[in-house]
Amino acid sequence: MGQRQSSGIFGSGANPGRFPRLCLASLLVLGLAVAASPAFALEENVYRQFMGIDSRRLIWFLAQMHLFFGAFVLGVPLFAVIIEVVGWNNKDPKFDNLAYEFTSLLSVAYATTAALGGLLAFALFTLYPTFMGYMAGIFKDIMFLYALLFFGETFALYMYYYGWNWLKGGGLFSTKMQWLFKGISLVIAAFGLALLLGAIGPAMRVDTRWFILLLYILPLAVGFWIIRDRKSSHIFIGILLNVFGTAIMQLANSWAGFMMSPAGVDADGVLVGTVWEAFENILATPIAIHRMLGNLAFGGLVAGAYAAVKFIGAKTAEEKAHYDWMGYISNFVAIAALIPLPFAGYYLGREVYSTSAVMGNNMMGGDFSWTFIIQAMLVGSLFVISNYYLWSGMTRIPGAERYYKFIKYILFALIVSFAIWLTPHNLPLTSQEVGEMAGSQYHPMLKYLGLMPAKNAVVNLIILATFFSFLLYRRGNMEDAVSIRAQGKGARITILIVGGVAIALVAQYAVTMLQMDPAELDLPADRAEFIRMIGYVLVFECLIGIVAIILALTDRGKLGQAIYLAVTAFNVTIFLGVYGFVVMEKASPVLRNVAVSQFLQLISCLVLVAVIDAFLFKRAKSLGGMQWGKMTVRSQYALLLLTFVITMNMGLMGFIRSGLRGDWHIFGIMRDTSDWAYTPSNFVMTQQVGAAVLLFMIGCAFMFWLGGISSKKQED
Amino acid sequence: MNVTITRIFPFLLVVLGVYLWIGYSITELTGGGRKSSAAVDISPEGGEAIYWGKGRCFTCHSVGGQGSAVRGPNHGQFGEKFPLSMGARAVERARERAEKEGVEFTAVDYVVESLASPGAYVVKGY
Amino acid sequence: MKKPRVGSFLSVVLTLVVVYALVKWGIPALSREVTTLPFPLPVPGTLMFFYMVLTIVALFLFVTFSDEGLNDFLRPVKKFLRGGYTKSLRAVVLTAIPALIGWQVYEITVPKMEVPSSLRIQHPSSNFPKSFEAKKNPIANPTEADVDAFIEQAKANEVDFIPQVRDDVENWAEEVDPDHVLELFPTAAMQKLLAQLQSGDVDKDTARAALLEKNLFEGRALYAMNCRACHGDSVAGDGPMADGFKLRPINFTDNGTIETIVEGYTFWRVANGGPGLPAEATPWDSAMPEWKLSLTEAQRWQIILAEYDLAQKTPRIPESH
Repeated sequence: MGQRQSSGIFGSGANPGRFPRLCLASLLVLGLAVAASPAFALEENVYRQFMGIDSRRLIWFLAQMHLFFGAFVLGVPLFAVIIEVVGWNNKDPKFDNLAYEFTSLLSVAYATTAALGGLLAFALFTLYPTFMGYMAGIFKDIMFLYALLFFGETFALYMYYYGWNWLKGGGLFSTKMQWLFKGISLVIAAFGLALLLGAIGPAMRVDTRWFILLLYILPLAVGFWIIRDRKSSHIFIGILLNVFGTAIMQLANSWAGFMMSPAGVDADGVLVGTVWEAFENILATPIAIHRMLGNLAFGGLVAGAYAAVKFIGAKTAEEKAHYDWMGYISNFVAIAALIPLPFAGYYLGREVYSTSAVMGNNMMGGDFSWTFIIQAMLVGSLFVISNYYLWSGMTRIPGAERYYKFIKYILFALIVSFAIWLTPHNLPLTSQEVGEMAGSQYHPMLKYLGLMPAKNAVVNLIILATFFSFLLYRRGNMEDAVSIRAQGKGARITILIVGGVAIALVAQYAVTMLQMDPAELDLPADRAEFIRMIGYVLVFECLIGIVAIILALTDRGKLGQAIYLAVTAFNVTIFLGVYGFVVMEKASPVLRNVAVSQFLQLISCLVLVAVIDAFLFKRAKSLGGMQWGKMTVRSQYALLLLTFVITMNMGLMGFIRSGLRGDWHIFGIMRDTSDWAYTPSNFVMTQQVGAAVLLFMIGCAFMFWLGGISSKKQED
Repeated sequence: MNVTITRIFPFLLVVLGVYLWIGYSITELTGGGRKSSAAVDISPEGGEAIYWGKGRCFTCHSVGGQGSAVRGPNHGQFGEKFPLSMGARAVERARERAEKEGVEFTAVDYVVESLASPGAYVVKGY
Repeated sequence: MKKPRVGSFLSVVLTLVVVYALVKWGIPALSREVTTLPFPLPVPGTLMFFYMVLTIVALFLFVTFSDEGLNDFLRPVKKFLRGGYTKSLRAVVLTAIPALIGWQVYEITVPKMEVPSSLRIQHPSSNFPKSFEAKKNPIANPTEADVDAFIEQAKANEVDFIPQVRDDVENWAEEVDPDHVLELFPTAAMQKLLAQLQSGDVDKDTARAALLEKNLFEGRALYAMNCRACHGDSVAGDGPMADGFKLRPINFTDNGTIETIVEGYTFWRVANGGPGLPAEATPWDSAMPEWKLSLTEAQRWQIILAEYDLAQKTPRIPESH
């Protein structure tokens, strides 16, 4: 990519100077990376301070700010492109304008992120020279690539934003051109297939392979495939922007992952493997997956906060209607990302455990056990508040009163689940209480609520309840279900395929469970029955899934949905929840398989019920349109609260992830010998994160304000 | 944008306040924060950092109401059993000791000796 | 909308009372019923607080999600404030509320004797050395050389016991006068080994199983000598000394204890005892002695083998990716 080329576009743009500054920052980072002397892990660590400030807290704060803005810059384009595609599909300019409105917020955020990134890099290289020298020595190739990707990201972002109106309208491209793009798409798809089959590329973990496949290759192939006119090329640029963003995140992620689970180096820290091995360390991809989903939820919620602020300040009914709608869409995207997030977290946690039981124990039972209680409070509130927002939204749907009666049951399920989730295994006790509980540290009954099987069960129930709220919301103004049989082959085939995939997901695990040799889990042969039992439950789940599909195809879809939901709720929460304790007693390694089976059933349920629902109410008779804007102001504060909570939670989880290393810079390889090599308290964490959240929100308010004045100017 | 400042900003501050309060109470509940203990100055604060950190003094001793270990004597004023502060106690012990053994003992000598060789003079009851 | 039978305000108050009663008396009563322990088993204060805050949050959400709901809730309150339920009632309540608040403030601020509440981290591990993590019990997985050595000893009828049990074994041998010292163990695995010894053709697997039995025997003996006083015969943390400790010795049969940790951690805890614990293990520090001072490494592993066996538990397996 030539700079000359880019200067042509950016020189004439509205933001001269920003691009050169970015380039400068990236080059400086590069320069530092190259200039840093190659250090070895066993050399004595040098630490410096800046103006007597605690270096660790300084780095922590800068990193947190960089990550907040970074998450914004990665999350909002994801969100914007999704909205743009929806608008393009529906031919609804409302969505297109919404996507544009968000993109307009991006350029300031992007520059701020880069500036903060530069600051963070400087701080790291100057305050932790030995450590960073070592990291640069291992990752120099990756760091180069990282800096180069910034050019791509910058180019794509400005192209996406400034090209928005330019790439509108116009006729179709010539057939030859369209075929060319389709050809490229096929080549990329073939490349992806080869990668999937392992024919090309280095040896990779399964999760990394799928990450690359689903987040780089698939979007690119789809992006090329859809190009046929100016608008679709614009969408392609948006996809490209997200691919660059994701890649940048993944590269930077690998450094954080390496610090927790170093790979490719020996015990002295000398690189013995390849850079690829160091890059693809065990935790790199699980963290990347978790971050990706988190970013999408975050992007959606920041957009939601924008809408809420505008709603609260709106003067006319039209404005209110617009921002109410915007808030709803944002929240919808956020919830969609929020639902799989606990599972990504579970997977990450499991990989942390497998990397090191010390880290794992420290995480759940040690220094961070109470941080996890705070985390449970925050995540639980995210779900409860999302539900509240949906219920509030039902008040603007004519006909939704019919479903109010379910709300108290959903609320009951949510709160009881939340209470169980929050019940810690070991409790703060007065010695009087210890005496009253027979001198034990644990309450003889409530202690069970503190164990993993109980937590897994209730988290699943919370997700199911949220999904149920969403179903009620969706059918708020629908008079009654329509006939699926009458919708022809297309509907039937879609239900069969999607439902089939959902059931196959459960079925394949059922087969695994029915065949698994207990020796794989280091269990004696007589414990096989505990694994088989999971298999039987899954087979039952599959059968009910098939029944649900049959019912849906014979126009009894609602019954099918109800049966499948009920059976899943029973299996996942009650049966496997209790069974988890049995397993824990007799064959504790199987507990992991129980958790995976719960997850698969839940996902299958969400997918199958959603696809039936999509057709059940397709063009159903409406009881009246949405009365956008007729929403309580409280609900907008709820939306704001969601954003605050997710931001605080991001900071908190960053603390856990980074803090798990204890007094290691690179776990097991390079010790942190500085004065700050201890785990800060939760209070210190809330101070650090709170300050970062405050500053980030002020930054957001400033960006929203900037976006506001620029659009005002356009209107004038 | 007036509305942001007058309504939303206070709301954010309240939310952050609750967050801080949760962090604070949980830290209090779980025995307070740790301090840096890798390298400290020779100062009261430095000593305290070692006391509650690397020195692990707190596994046996408490200081007044801080800490909860009762294996060794409390190092502060606490209840009927420990009416004197550490300094005053050392002065008294040094005097006792000087009387008993006829060697000149200062309070500092006594404290240093207790740290270096705890068994040299054991108070009754321990 | 139909007029609800019980007003929204009243039902909120009733729900609060019912939940409070359930948590305060219901759960303890149920716990006593289920566990048959002769103790009050109250819900700890912290949890009580959690549960009540959650209930209040839930009620708040339920009342405020729609404007109608909020109005329903506020109607009696407004009516009351306007004096709709007689003015004297209003006067009484409006005086009672500040008085109640004042009383609470007084309760909180007045100095009084209070038992501090404190929390102990369950598996303190911040100073647990990483090198211990992957440690495997060498006694549970004897090497070929160990097994060979054992076969040699068995063949020569000179099985080497740890010094702590040697006297007992000798006493037993004097009394019974067995052909082979391994007859001490009347178990199937040992019988098989003895039979094989006689025929002269010993296979390794049999010897391995027999060695494990011998180690278990020694481990149990060591457990009885060193650990039983606190952790008890039944390994349920109920030995004769158990009641003397503020922090009760751990119950190994509980799922949340030795089963959730890797063997290396158990080994580290046994070796370093209470004094080896990090700061987060306070208060109520463990009184466990530092066993590395009085037991050899092999003996500590034998005890661990016996502990897991007695408790019928398996250690957590370090997970693979």
